Amino acid sequence: MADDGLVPGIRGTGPARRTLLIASAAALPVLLTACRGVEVLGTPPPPPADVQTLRSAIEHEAALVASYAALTATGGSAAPGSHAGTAGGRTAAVLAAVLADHRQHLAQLKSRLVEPAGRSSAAAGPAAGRGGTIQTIAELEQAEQAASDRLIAELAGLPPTLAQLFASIAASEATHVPYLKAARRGR
Amino acid sequence: MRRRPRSISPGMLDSGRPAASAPPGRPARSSQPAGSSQPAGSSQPAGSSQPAGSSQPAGSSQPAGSSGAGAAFLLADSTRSADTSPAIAALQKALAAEQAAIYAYGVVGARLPQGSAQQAAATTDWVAHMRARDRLTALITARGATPVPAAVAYELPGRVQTAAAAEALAATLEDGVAQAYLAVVALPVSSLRSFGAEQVRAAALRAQAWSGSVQAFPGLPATR
Repeated sequence: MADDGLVPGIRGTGPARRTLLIASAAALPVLLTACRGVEVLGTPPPPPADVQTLRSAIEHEAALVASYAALTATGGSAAPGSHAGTAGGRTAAVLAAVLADHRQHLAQLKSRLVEPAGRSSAAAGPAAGRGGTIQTIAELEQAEQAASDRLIAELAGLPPTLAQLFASIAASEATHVPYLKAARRGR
Repeated sequence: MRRRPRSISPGMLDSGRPAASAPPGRPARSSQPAGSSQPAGSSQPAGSSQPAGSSQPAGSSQPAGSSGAGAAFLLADSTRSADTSPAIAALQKALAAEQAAIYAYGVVGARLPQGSAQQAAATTDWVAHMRARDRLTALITARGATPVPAAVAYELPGRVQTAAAAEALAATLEDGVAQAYLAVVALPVSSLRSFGAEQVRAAALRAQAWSGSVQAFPGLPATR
């Protein structure tokens, strides 16, 4: 639906109504231009709320990926409450497993978003840069819990299949908390 | 007439156990109303006291894969009321999954070391499922429908003769429960959607505790 490069949308959510809306919104400036000149071209309509929610989720997921990638790159682990780079193989394996989950989350979320041509990735948003602020596993646990809570809080208004994806990712991120905690405690 | 045990999960037909009996060395548990705050770890989860009736396999919820195909629910901005049949159907599926889990946790508890932390955890989870069952029962009844009854017995996915097999069964059960609740998440009713999501998360946490591993998409088989 947004492959026309005009307005972002969500893939796989029953296109008929949205397609009509987008087509109408896209056609209007063109018709006005044809009648009255290019100066009357208005700004494109803002993306629907669910698109903004999806973009936000992508940004936060990208930030988590960046955090895990940074921690694994600096030695793979963090001792209890400490900075990265001091732990052993078990913790590194846990971090790698969770990072793999987040990369799958990010890929799935991105696959639902249809961006207009020329628009940069949603991962370039402000949340994407937050990854570097997380330096310990304890902070990762907090970030995971917050991410899970945020996804569940944003379910209202989403198309059904996207809501299911959000709920599943929220569940996965919640399970990362005890998983990380066990690794941090050496269990 | 003897009832045939219902299958816990689709396609799992082997070694179904007869109607749940009291675990070895433990007295049979009387029917426990959910929400009655059975103290965790204080007794043996049994699940043996469910009323007779039919049940739905736990893993038979709506499709919820990454493709987005097959969702039979309305868009979230629909004006439909909460009492439409998709809501009832989704709640009934979740209820059936909870009933199956309650039964199976009786088997799980019976195979775990008596007095162990694992057995206490099984009791805690058993109680959680009974509370969820009662919540679902209330939600369905409030919508004017009759909750599906539980089966007398369920076929388990395999023989459960060791503690390891019991823990694996518990993780499998929770996956099925998570999948069933995703159908509730797809409903266009905000309160039900939140409830379903919280239950998906709770089931995933229990599954993680039993399996010791994590998965990227609990309840979404197509994206695993």
